[in-house]
Amino acid sequence: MQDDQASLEAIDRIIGLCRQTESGGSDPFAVDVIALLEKLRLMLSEWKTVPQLARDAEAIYRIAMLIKLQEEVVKHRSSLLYTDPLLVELKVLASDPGDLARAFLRAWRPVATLQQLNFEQLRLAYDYWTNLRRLRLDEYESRMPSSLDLEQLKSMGVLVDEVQSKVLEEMHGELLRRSSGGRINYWEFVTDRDFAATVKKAVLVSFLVTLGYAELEIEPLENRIWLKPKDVAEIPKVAEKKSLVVSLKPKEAQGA
Amino acid sequence: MTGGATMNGDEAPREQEAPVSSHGSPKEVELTSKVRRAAQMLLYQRHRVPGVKGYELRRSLGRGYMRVVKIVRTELENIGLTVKVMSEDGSEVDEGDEEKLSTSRFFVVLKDSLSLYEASTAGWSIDDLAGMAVTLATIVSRRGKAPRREVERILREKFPNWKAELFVERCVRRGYVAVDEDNNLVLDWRSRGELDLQKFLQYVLGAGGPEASAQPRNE
Repeated sequence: MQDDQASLEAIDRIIGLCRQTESGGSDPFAVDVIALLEKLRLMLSEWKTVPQLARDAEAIYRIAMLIKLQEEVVKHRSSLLYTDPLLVELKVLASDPGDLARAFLRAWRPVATLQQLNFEQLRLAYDYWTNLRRLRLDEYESRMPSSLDLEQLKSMGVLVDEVQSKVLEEMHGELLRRSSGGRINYWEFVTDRDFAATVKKAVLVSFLVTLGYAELEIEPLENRIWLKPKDVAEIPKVAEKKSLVVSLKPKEAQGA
Repeated sequence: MTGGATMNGDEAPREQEAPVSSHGSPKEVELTSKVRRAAQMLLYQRHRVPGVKGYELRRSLGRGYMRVVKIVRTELENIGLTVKVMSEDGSEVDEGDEEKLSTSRFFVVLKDSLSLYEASTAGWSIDDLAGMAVTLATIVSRRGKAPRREVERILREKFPNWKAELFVERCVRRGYVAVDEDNNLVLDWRSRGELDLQKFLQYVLGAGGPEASAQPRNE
């Protein structure tokens, strides 16, 4: 077990070294790629679990990226643009600001642009303005500001009868009941008497999952989605955040 | 220079545009109108990045837009400007390659280099230009990418701390340099569009020499 841990740490060091070289801009040829690959080859027989093999694969990927970087360096060194960075640094440090400014100016051809309103832009602005929907103030002039009662707000859809958290609790209860401690097919659960009810249920289920009251398990090969309720809402700290799009069609929603 | 030029804005709108010469065949009149439109598209900054893409020119001027661009270039060269074409990856484009031209950026640059006096009258101090030279030379010599702290360290050898940070900030703000997710400085579109990088490194390495002080005007 301790050997495994030590080997995993060795792999992490390899990954870290490759990443550092890649992002830090240091010389990729300073890393002994052959030695790293040999180390990974020796450790390969020890790996048994999927996470261990995944770590090994990541290390191989990082080494491959390092080799790609080495290739880029070779190409750059053979190009006309290559100049030893150290030489450039020494020259820059030894030069007078005036000489550096002159060197810059010799190779510099600044962009010339005009930043001013012209007729073309005015025409576009005029088109935009004339196409804007007109605000008819006279429609509101006859009415004075007044207060609305709860019934009116409900009829406008601003207020609803049920408290949303209460609805969610009920939905959670139903999910716990119907899954009987296990999991339930997503479509089996959300399909209701009509399309509107199914959509409403699907929306509430999405809230349950987002708030940690349930988990979604996806089997991509079988194209199945399972809902697994939890007794207490909990979102794992290391959970991977994902969005899942579920398309609902009236026929499927009723017929499923 | 960016935003340096002004215009009175007293031209006629496109519908009432008169040709440069009131004589000529309808084809000539149409061409003159296209040249004016192309010059306007090339010079007026409409997006964050100056210039226009090839497909935008084609949409406005038709398939033979390169012919119009060449006429604009000839006209602009009389007043010390030229039209530059740069591909998406920052390289020069073969003007016969229609496919590549379509996604390339067309913009107007100075034809000749500026003198120190001209640059200072346009608002660039010697320190500003030297700071740009140090920043860009460091990045170019390191395959177009250098850690920010490394560039600032070299700048601090020549300038005070606050100026070193200011120079890097200015390069980023003006579009010469971009910052990646690892806080590395990488060359941005403006360095590739305005600088001949290969010559620039040669000039930096030869800075202070007898050739550098001669400062040719037409390279």
